[in-house]
Amino acid sequence: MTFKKAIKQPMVWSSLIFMMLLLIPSGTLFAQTYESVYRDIEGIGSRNLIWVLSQVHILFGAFVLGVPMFIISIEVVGIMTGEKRYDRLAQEFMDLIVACFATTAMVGIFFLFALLVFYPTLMTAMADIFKPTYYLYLFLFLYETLSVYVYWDRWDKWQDRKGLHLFWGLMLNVAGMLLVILPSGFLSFQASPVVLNPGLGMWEKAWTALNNPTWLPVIIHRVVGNLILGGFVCGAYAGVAYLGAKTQEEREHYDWMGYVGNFIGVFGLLPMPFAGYFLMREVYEYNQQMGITLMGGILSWLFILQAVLIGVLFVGANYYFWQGIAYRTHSAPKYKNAIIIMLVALVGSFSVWLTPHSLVASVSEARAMGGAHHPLLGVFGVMSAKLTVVNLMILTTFVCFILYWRADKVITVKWRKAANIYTVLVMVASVVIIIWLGVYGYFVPSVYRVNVLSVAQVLAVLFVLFTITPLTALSLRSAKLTHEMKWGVMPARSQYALIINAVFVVLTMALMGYARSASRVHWHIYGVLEDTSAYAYTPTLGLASFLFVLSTAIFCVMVGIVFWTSLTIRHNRFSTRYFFLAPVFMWFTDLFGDKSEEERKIPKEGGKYVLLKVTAVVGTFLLAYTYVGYQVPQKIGLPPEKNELDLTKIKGTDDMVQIGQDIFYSKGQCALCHSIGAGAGRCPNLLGVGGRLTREFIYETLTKPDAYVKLDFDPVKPVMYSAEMPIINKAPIGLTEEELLTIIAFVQSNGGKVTVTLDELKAASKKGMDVVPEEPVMAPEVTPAEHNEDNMEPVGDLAMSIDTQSF
Amino acid sequence: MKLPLIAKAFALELGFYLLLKLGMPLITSPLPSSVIFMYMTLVTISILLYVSIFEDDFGNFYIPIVDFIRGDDNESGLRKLSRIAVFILIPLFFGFRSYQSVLPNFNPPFPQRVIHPAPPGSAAGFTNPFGDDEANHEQYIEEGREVFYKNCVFCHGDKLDGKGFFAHALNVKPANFADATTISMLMESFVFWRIKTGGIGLPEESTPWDSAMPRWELILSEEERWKVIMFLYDYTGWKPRTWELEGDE
Repeated sequence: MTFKKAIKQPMVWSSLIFMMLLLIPSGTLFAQTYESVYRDIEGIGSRNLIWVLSQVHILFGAFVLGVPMFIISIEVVGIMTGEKRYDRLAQEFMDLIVACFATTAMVGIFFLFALLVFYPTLMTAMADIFKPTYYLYLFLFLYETLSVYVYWDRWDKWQDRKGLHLFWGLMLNVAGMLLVILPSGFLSFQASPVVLNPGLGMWEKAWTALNNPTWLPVIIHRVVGNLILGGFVCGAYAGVAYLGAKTQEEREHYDWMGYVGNFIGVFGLLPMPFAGYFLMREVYEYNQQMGITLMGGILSWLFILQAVLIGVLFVGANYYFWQGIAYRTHSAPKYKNAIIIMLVALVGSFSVWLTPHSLVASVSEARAMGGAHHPLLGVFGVMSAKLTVVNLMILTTFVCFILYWRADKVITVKWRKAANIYTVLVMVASVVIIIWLGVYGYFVPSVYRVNVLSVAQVLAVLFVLFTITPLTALSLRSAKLTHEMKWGVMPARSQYALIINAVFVVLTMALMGYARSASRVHWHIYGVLEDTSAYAYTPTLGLASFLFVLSTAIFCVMVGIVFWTSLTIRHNRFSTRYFFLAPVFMWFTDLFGDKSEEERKIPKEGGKYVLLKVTAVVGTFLLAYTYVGYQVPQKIGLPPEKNELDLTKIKGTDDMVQIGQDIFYSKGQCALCHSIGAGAGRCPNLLGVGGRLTREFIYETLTKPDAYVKLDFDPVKPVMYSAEMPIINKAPIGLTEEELLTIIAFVQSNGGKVTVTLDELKAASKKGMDVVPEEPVMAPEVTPAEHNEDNMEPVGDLAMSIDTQSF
Repeated sequence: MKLPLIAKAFALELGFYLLLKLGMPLITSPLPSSVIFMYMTLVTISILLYVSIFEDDFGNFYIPIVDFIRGDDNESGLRKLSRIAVFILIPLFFGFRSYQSVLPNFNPPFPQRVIHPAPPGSAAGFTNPFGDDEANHEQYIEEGREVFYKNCVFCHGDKLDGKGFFAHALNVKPANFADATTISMLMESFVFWRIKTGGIGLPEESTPWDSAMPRWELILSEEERWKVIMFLYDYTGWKPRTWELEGDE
């Protein structure tokens, strides 16, 4: 590819625009405190626009970054087995990637523009923190573009230089992985920021911010999610192509492609609950309140909507497998009973999965039931049951896959009997263990259930997965094939299952993406940069569902057009290199030109009205989902009222403590690191600290945190994340003197007696002067190393009598 | 005699419905219609999924339906009549449902509830000040017992099972603490906050939550509320939810 050609690539010039855009905020605007600026767009709402743009962009991104992971794997399989069809399949997947690549960047630019226009303050704040990583991001962007085009363009030309070609495939995946990792740092920082002390260097600051508690789980969650999305969307593409195929040969090819896509999707789906569990755990560890908002409060209904989606996905993927057994193998009737059992197991688990704890009931029904919780079904409504059935669903899917794998094969190895006995025994044992652990979970404290029983359940599933898969692979290596798989005979409904699976994966992604953003409630950066716009509230789930569906529909339509223009219209002048609107336009103008018949030819679809039918089916499901979204309680979550420190409203100590508490959890950002009692925070637990510290000492720790550092301050050591205690009355937090006093009152109320008086507060606000000594009360400003054991008494014993200190 | 597939499917549907509707009340409380509807939907979907997996089943299930709708020239009069009846009944059924739904209705609307009311951030910061005082543990529980029997017993019952004197007059019954799925799933700080706000003092974002519980922060002191929580856990034998395994620090 020459430079001249390269510069015409939409990817390249869009990268350049992207680069310039990113440089604007980081280069010009620097401020420590942010005057929030918002703009709105009439009729649509700036938030809704950003919402849809970011969602569509991220869906495209997930596809473009997820699919290369298995493209390279399929290529390797092709090299190892020597079968050409794998290579061709990998190449066809790569065609899909290239087709979507320009569109991904395009939507990304729209998204970025929208952010700059509507949320400039947030962008400034983010650029301030992440400036150096933006350069890295841009570099990655170009690096990814380069590797995509080289890998794709040289596929045929480097057939005899596979090593070099695979190297570029690897490059592409490395770039893709880094492109997931870096922005995940941006958004996980928004959800779980760490304290950034002034004086940090540019890179140090960016790294500290990236290395926040939910960064790693978000990365894992996203990488697995991208894989699932990639697999299922490729499956859906194959499904549509299958429905429209003209020849049996095409049908066979697309049938197989759909199978591979579905397989990859299911493969990713199996570890997903564990990844989600890890993320939720980290969220709870980081900030319990955030976890409660997500799982227990206004957003909890969101998880019921999600449960529906996940259940449908499991059922859909299995349904496709069952049909594979029924149509592709020759021993279908043999499996009828097994399929019934799997269906019952799956739907049975699904129904437990869907049963809520508080049932929706009319007044008379609730009376007959004796409360909102049913005495029998109530037990299905809690986590113990949910985790049990999700493990059972994963196991069922796995059994299904193993049966499919073994169909039409006669195992010839000597130890086949032992292997079979082992397989059955392990499967049955794991089911029994999982159910037993689930039941046992009701009789032990929650913490034991979460930390021990749930983990044991997961381990049981993993044990099955990791022992039976290699065992089956080994025993099937020398197996005799009684019949070849029959490809290309699947009924149309199986292909619709593929398509619906893809739609539901996209919907799930839209939903979970929203859940993650919504957990920040009225904060752009949780606890740091507040959203003061008109859209700070949490919308109703009906509106949210509508926006998920809108994003999904836009994504489906765009992907449909991209695939159609770049792959179905095999027109000489049309190539996947063009942005998708261009081929449509060219195709349209060519219809009226005097081009030769050959050039204008568009292959006719095999089935009748395939696109129309697919659109109708997808549309019906999306509408049904929107309807469900409107059936759950429609509540908005308003941001809390501003608590301006108004002295006239403070009547007594209780009010003071209350205000101090509010500041502790909001402006003061104390709760970002410190917990009181619950959970192991990243910094000292402040439980009962009011009884152990004098007021003067509390004041000093707030305003001169490094004046006196006690070794081994309390149970937790703040080692996980580099964050020092910030100086509270200086920027960026910058509490005023009277705010500090209320904080002290709150801290004192926690285990001790409040000595801050109302008069002091008034005096502080009137004079704006310190009511506590200027000088360090406990120790001169020395580094911890200079302390000797004597002044390192336990805090409780300091008893805080200033006069006993002899400095 | 071998039953046709459609008949089997129909029998399965009916059997399930009867089991949920009539069978359930025999062993436990009756199910609300929303739950029956959900389970029946799942049963129907499973049946449709099953009959569409194998080609022969699909034919057996699908062809009679198509034939019935399409009809043919030499069919019996009864068949023809029943087809006409079905085509009249289907729109009539939906018409009747629509009519029912617009009819004035004096039943209260379905109460909508969140899973748990979401507490504000500050609610997580409470810990029981008496939790560590092992020496006076028994005494605190005794004091909590007194608070309970003076204030809470009327609704939550003397066995803490939510069956107090007033319970039968309340919609959305008082919580049953003896149940394994209530207080044992909650953290102490959450229980404290729930007692503090009751049902009436809940902030807007924590609703919809139907509850007549008084706002105890206006009636009981903080100490009394902590003690009564200690009593609740002591009497029922549950442990509050915590984040660390004991001895895990």
